[in-house]
Amino acid sequence: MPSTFSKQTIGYGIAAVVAILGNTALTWVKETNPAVNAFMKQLMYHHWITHGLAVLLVFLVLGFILSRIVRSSACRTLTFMLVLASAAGALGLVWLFLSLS
Amino acid sequence: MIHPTTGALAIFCAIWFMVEVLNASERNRGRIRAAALTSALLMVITWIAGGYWYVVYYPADKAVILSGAWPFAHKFFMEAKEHAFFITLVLSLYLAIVARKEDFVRNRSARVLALWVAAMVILSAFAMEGAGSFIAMGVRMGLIQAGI
Repeated sequence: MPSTFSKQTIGYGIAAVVAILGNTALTWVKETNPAVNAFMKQLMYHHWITHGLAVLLVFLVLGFILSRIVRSSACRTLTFMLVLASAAGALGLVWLFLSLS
Repeated sequence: MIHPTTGALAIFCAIWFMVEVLNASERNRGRIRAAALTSALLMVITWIAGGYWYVVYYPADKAVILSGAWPFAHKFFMEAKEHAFFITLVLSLYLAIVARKEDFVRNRSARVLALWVAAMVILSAFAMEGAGSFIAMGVRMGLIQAGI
């Protein structure tokens, strides 16, 4: 009974963790630094478009690269890392906008 | 509005995916992949349709909300929603990749991972739908306050 994850599952899983935490970090930087917000708006008409494409690119590109570097393994912490990153990312956003509103 | 509908359909597909994975067998491999892929595609459509509405039409709603009795509908719910959505989007794309690459019949770890990711997609997407209700109510409160 195999209990190992494929290279793609591990590579894109780690990329998802980075993209989710990066999303929250970029939101914090953007919302507390008007110059960054204005720069992102300049890049693609609206800061939210730049933000979304940046998060998606991090996930897809990093996932593509990592899935070629990592080996298929059990990686027991992958599920835990994904749940933890999603919870931390969401709570970080809630905290930010509660403190700003 | 398209995006709350496609978002709700993406939730249904993620629930469908969970049911198929909990009953994983050689016979439903195709359905497992179809459920995850459909959920991811619907979430991408939600992103594009919701993004178009947000960038083009929302500024008028935002002005109404901020001048009304429920400014928190924008300051908290919309701001949190527009950024938290990317977590849901990434997770639903990841779910489609996992569904394509893993064998849920023989691999218990893959089943556990997929069920957790699907549960997070469902939970976060429901939170988006709920936040959308607050935003719509915020617009209504603003219009009532303006006597419209």
